[in-house]
Amino acid sequence: MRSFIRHSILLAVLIQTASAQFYYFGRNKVQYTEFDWKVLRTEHFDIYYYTEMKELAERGAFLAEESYKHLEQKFNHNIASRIPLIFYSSHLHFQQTNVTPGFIPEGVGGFFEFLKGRVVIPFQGSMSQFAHVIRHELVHVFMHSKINRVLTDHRQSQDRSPPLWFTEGLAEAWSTEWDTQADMVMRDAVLNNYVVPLNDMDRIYGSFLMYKEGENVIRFIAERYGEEKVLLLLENFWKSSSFSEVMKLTIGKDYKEFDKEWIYALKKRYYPVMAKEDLPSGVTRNILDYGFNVKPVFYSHNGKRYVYFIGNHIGYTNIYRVDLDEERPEPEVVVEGEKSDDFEAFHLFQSKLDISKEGLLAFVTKSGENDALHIYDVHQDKLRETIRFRNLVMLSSPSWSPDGKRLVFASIDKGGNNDLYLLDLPTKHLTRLTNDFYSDNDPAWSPNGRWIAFSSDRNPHGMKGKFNLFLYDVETGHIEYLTRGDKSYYAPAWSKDGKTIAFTTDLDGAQNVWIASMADRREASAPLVMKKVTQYSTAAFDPSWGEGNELVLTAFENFSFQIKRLPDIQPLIDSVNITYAIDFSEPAGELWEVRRLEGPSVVTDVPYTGEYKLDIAQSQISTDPIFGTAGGAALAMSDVLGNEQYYFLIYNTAQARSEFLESFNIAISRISLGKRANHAYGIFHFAGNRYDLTDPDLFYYERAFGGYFALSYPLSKFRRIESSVTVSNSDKDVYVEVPRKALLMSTSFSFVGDNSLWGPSGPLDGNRMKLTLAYTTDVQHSNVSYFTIIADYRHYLRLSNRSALASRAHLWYNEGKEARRFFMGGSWDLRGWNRWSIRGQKLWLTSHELRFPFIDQLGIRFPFGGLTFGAIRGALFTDIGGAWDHTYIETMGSVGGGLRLNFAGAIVLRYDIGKRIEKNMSKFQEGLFHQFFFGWDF
Amino acid sequence: MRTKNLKTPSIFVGLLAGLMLAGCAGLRVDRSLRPRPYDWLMYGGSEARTQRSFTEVAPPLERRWEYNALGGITASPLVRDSVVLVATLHGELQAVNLSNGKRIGYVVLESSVAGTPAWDGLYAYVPLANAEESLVCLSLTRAQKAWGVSLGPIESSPLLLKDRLYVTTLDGIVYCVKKQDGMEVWKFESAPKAIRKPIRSSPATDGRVLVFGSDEGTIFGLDIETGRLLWKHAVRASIFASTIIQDGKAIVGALDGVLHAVDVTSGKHLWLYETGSKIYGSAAANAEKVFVGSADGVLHAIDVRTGKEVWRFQTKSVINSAPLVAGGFLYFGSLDRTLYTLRTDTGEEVWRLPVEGRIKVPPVLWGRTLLVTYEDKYIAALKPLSE
Repeated sequence: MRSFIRHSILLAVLIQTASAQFYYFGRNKVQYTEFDWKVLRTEHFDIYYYTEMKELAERGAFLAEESYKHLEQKFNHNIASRIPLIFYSSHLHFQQTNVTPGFIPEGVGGFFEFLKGRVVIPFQGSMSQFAHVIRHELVHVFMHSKINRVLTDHRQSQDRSPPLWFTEGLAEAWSTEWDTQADMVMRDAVLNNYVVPLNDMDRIYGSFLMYKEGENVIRFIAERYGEEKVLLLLENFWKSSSFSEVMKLTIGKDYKEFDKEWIYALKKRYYPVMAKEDLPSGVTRNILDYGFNVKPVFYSHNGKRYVYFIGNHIGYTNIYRVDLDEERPEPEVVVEGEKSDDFEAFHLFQSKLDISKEGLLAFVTKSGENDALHIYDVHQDKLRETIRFRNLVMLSSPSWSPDGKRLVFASIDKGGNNDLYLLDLPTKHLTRLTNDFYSDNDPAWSPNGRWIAFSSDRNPHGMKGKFNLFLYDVETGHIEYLTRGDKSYYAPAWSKDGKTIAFTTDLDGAQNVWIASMADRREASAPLVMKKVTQYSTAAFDPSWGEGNELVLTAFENFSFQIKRLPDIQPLIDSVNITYAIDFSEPAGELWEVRRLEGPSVVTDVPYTGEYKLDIAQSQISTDPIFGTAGGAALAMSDVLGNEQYYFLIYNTAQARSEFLESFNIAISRISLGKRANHAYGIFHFAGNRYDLTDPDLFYYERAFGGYFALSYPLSKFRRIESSVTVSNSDKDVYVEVPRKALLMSTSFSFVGDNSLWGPSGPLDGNRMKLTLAYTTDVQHSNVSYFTIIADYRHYLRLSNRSALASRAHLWYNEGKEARRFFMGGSWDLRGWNRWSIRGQKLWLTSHELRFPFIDQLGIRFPFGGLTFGAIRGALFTDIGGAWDHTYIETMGSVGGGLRLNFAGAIVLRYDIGKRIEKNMSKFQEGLFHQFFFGWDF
Repeated sequence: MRTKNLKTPSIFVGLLAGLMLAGCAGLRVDRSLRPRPYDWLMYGGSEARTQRSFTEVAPPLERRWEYNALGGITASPLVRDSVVLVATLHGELQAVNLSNGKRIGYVVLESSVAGTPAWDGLYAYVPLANAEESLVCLSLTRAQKAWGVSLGPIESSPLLLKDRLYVTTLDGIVYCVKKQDGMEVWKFESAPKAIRKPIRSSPATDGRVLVFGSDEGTIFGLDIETGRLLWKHAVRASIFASTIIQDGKAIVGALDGVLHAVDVTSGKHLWLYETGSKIYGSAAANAEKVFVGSADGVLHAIDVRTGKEVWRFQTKSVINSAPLVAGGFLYFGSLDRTLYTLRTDTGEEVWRLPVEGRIKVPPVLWGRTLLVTYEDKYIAALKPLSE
């Protein structure tokens, strides 16, 4: 029976892994949108898409087939089976995917799930970016297949893969050019001396820095040793389990030798940059020195000057403001994000803010299914209005008209088109300004009201990811070039008088702020004279004008984004003294187009009907000193989209042939996640000898069979309601008593809320709560009848960036005939007391814990290698609680301290030491208790 | 598949299997194997590596048997009389009965075999990719190692000419050793050690000059007697493929997709042909044309005298193995899991055979039996329908 319990847990774990919604707590991955899935079958791909994005899917199909042809030549390999490619037309839709059970952060551009070989990619408004991500993920597909082939050929097990820096670095190197952004990261790392060598790459595992360093390493190998060496690293993978050794065998250098050569080359390349360019911190001051701060906008009122911006200082992203006239400005939270339904997520790096003359701050957040546009009155500190658009999924960078009555913004619709829209606020009338597959961003309304400047890839170099600036004539709808060429221009911003426009470009290397005089621009064909303002060696973003010649902007340095203020740009322009004129006398050239794979001769287009494949299959035979030998199997399968999941458990504990049938355990569950209301149902038959966990003296035989139905409806990302009903026929033989028969029916209703923010060992901010009401009864024999109340509330008071005071209070209450007992004691609840030693039909507990950082990194170096432990946290705690059946007995408690070690991000090891308190908290017990266990903090 | 009895070789199946290695493996080939003019005993079929068969077989062909080597194969199968020798990436040399595809026996080697061994009478000379003794001579009658020498890792195919073996190594060195005992006759270092690049290209010869390419993108010509450098010719990209020699020209493709022809005697560049994609595999040739596949799935036929394209044929995936010229037919495979047969004169497709896996090893023709290696571990024997 112990074995049975293990398998029950396994099944539960599987269910929980598959769906966050069925956790005790947890945020919700809400399926807001009902997608009408279809399948486009091309030569090598099954492309899953929904009706609204058919045109985009056909273009994506073309890009995928192009990438396939390219990569099979690069890899000298092809893929033996069809590749499932799942497209979403926006990142918000992508975040709803059930292919992976976890939440998908905004920074994830797509993923390859290697168990079933599925590739999942959102369109994010830019076709060149779409092409890049498709190729990036297909590099993973080819690499995975090639490595498997190499290992299989050499009859080696397929339980290893190259290090992540290599797989991601190769995916980047073979899917895109070395661009300004990549150069920005490496310049910064070299000039600020934080390049992480291959030997230590685990320190930045999975980070953007790791991606870019990996890409740089691959490019370096290709340039220094030959492109073919990159392929040979894969083909030689079988030769050693150490990738350092594989490198040694392939290019003649192991990690250590390579690091020396590579970092030296980086220094040779980037140190000369400092002769002409500056680190941002060398020439300008930050407004703030901590956190991430981006998208500044200037606002003055009654002689006071403020900068509003989006920042992330403690884990949640908020809108802040600082008073520029203060000596040491402290940021003030204006809009608190990521804790409530309305402001579910800011698009930290994607959407600018704007403030009207009247002090109305326009910004966008994810809010439910789509993005919402918010108007916030900064004078009254009050949200004025929230506007949602039925067919616009993602919004970005609203910009006010001079009269403050209209807003222009960029948006991605359900089809994936990224266009400009104009909203008339009084009437709420929405006008679409552009309508094509080009990516239009960063609109900025000119002070005279006639022009909307914006950044777009509607230029001959757009498919290479190059953006130019354009002017949209509000009166005529005509669009004309403001800049031209094969460099990128972003983030136009008009000066208050409308005579100058500032923007960023990588025209001469790193992305910097430039300005151009619009007063001198008499006609569209006249040359545009640009002057360089900043000369940063890393990058500048999102300039915003203050008074006169004042600019605020974001700069990248030390792998952080901070806001800089340039009080007067004229001296900077004079000292930099770089001008450039764009010539408009020649035609701009042909615009790009991406072909569509369409028509029955090329593709077949069929409705999606669900294609199921095995996720996991596991069998086990176990031997127990008490219950003997038992065996069973569990397997799970799901459809390609992960919406429908089936779990099967079969198990037998018979000790003799005659017991075979009556010892059969079987459970079948189906979980449906495709719609907003998730549901699960199943049937089960469990039989065998059992312990009662709540009473170790109770040992009995039970045969139970029945079915259940569970429903979970997320109200938002943070709140949900749950309900379940279980019907179970239970025959229980306690041996020493009269057998008990019952037809049990349990029903429950729960409300769950969770907006907590987690640190390395547990939550540090926000709160979590659960309220459950349940009733269990024997509808046939009336042998069982009890009700249940579970109330659990946890609050995390943030004390600093990495410390918090955590508190919880919970009550578990069963009352009635044959009410089951709850239990506590141990590392997870009443610490110091033996695990599960405190039992009762009623139980209460309150805990308070101070969580703080203890050791950030602990390294041990041996002559043959080293061990590194990270994120060791400290805790001081007190627990108080009690349990009883009918008469309250006593209150017990404990106080102490402990350490928590997050091990590889997967498990937290816990050690506690303290004193037990008994007799209604009146007496400390003798001695100290020590507990070593695992699990996250409450 | 037809079940007609196969024609038995003129002598009784000249094989015996016996235990050799501690009960886990064994290989013993009978001494009575009879040499045939069309025996396929080294990579490319001859010292010129032209992948040209002495016999011709016209399609359609049918599969008579399929053999599973249980491990990857990049080496060409070798055939003598009634025995097929197969070297595998998991480090075995296996012997297979040509008449029925049954395994006769196998020897476990120290390391993976990437290149094709050379077979001489009762001995096989096997290159090893990752072993201390990287060139070993195996006695096929005694199933024992006759000798082994440490030459550095080898992923190319040894060349056997008269009593000498010529081997290129990943250390960038070319060795000439005696086939009797592995004693070094001469060695050639392609560059000073600090800057030396690996050599994956198998050597070929016209009897006087030994020719091969290298990872650094150079075609070398050495005096086969002394190992003295006669000439070298730099190209723009690495060379993985083996050189072939036809009509006094050394012909080899590079990873930038260019096929080069140089004069074997002088090293003078004669012509180049741009395929537009990478060339991973070696070429094949007859008296008039050179045939080479490229990574974009195109099989190119080029006039051996002028270097001009004669015809081209598109497949659905990468071609990374050499074609086989069998009289008026050209047999080759692609990663698209298809064996193609074209007419050598016109490029017209005569026949195609879908197989269960990718084809990455050149086909081999022995008599009228075509051996096709696919999905890296299977070998199928094909014969005309009428036989």
